[in-house]
Amino acid sequence: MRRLGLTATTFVLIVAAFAHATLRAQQTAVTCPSIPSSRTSAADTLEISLPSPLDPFTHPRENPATAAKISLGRELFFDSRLSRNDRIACATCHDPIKGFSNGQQFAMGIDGRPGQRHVPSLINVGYSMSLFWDGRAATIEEQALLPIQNPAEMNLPLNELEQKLSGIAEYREQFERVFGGPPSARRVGQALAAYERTIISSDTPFDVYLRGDRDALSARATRGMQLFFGRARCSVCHTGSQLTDNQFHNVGTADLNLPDDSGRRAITGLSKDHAAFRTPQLREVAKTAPYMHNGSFPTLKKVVEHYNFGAVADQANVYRDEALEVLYLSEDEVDDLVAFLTEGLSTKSRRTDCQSVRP
Amino acid sequence: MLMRQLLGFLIVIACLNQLAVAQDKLTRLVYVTSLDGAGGTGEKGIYVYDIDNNHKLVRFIEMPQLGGTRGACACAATDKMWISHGNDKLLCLDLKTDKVLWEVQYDTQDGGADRIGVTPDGAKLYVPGGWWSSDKYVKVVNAETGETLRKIELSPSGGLHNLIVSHDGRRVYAGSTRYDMLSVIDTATDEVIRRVGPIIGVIQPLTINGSQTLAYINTHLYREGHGPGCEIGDLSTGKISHVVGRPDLSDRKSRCHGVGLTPDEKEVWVVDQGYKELHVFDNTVTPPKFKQVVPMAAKTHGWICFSRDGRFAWCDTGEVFDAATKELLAQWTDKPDGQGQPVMSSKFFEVHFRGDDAVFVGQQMGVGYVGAGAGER
Repeated sequence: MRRLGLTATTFVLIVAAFAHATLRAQQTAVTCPSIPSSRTSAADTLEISLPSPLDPFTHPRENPATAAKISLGRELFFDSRLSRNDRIACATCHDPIKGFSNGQQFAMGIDGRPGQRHVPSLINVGYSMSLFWDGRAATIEEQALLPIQNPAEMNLPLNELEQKLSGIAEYREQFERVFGGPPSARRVGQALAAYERTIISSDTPFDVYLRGDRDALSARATRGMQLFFGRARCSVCHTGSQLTDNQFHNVGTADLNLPDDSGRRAITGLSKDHAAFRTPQLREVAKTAPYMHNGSFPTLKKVVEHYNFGAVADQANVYRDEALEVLYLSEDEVDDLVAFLTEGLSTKSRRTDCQSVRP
Repeated sequence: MLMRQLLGFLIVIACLNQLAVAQDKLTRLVYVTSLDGAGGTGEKGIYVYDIDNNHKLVRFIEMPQLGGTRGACACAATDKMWISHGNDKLLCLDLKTDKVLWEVQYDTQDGGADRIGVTPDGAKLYVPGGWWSSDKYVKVVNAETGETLRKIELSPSGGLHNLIVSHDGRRVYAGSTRYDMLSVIDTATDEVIRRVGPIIGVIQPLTINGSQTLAYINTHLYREGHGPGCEIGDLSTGKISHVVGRPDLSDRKSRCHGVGLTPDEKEVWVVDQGYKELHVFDNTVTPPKFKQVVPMAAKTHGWICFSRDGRFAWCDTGEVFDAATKELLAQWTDKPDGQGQPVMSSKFFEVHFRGDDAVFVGQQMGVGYVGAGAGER
């Protein structure tokens, strides 16, 4: 109960902090010096537009959050009994100390079965407008139940899940207290979603900078930020306060050594969506290596270098997003961008789940 | 009997005559390397198009070993072609046989291989270290063997990217994406003899006129509100003489990538790839004056150059325009019938053959031809 009280208090404080932040202007235009040149500095002055601070988070009306529901969701999240063999929990792949990913190229499911995509981080997942790399789920409630049923992941059909949880007295009591009824798949989804929506990062040096502290970023990270929102064109897709456009793009990361992955096209049936994947948000990105939908880049430097070369792969790719172009960033500029992504977008804490503690 | 022998003799003579005519016939081709390391479409290899058959695909030389192509050039005197690819590799190809003769790979400390050029005699290659590299040098390479002969220090921070070997082979004009001065090299001594600039920002593609008095340089004009265009540098004084832009498009915030002079140098074309437009300027007046816009089909890396006869404008979208009327005439594709998928690349040039003997290689950098001679071997 004490733990529950702390969780609720922290949650309220965070919401209050977000509410304060929203009183700020929506867009902050900052004039920044661009890359040094032997030409006069006035000639090289570029105006970049920074996003407003992250919006305060509100739980959806359809699934209002309570401290008890979040607590239940957290317990379910870490409970390996949600899998057929009692060995795979949500947290097995979405590990808090690995940025709510798993630190591996691919997901690893039941009986050691490898997945075909990198585990998406859950940091700030509550802000996402669609889930999975291909956006096939519209809500976390819907998303949370799919890996449980997936034969390659947790392999527990929903009717068996309900029976299993109903056989555990602690869960029966908690579901009764939270929902006024026994465990059901729908309620499991709601509880998991309520918990996952508390996995929020909003106090990175970049956020502090946006809130007005111009010393929050190092000189190198500041240069990287200028590139990010300027010449390096990262903010074409990683835009807005959430640093994502919530859209799908083909960024030339298909790997010929892996099975063909049509990405968003499998959902929409549209050829324009071939091998397009959701733009991830970037807070705490340094904790979520490796990168891209197939975990093909081990470091952020490799990611930046990929985009520096226009995201051109070794094979023909007629679906490559036309927003991509060669950036002509120098090696120092690549390092500046990486500094922004690592120092600028990371909190010091190893864990990001501000409210949650492993049961 | 005598009449039959005479008739047979005449037929043989006629056939031999036809054969001789066929051997002397000039074949004009465009060699397009793929997959462009700066973005494009196509498979790995060289697409060869027939200029005189509506730019239909003649053949595709499959080269699965190619990484993204960074540059390509050829020499009629030695019937050889070179491709820089994968950022650090350089290979030589026999134009008669399509066989790879040699390939070298550079260590990181030796810089990479970006957009290359060759002297008209086929003796020396000039290999910039790469826009991505802090390597300060352009390598001078024995074009016959791939051996590095020397390195010319050009740019304090590296970023060496595009270069032009002049028609007469006496000069190389090299630009860096990290330096605001264009460097001029004397190929007799392989030393820098002049700098031209400073330009606004850094150098992107560039071209020169045939008499080597002026350089037309894509720079970061948008930073000063000039819109799409180029800067013109005086190669004798080293000063920038004009900024040629579209102030009416000052709201555009991206640099142009591609500049070319028509062979008669009456027009300069600028590629505004981000907005899918070619801007044509009248170069018969000083400074050049905007004439018209030609729409492009796709957003690409950006490149433009012209056929030696001045009839065709080739864009890296794979589009072929009538340089006079500005009408779209053809599209490079991956199928001989002109159907199939578009092929797009910014690394291409024209080659003329008589039989299997290359007799002319065109300028891929949109260099003017006024005062430069016919060029055919």
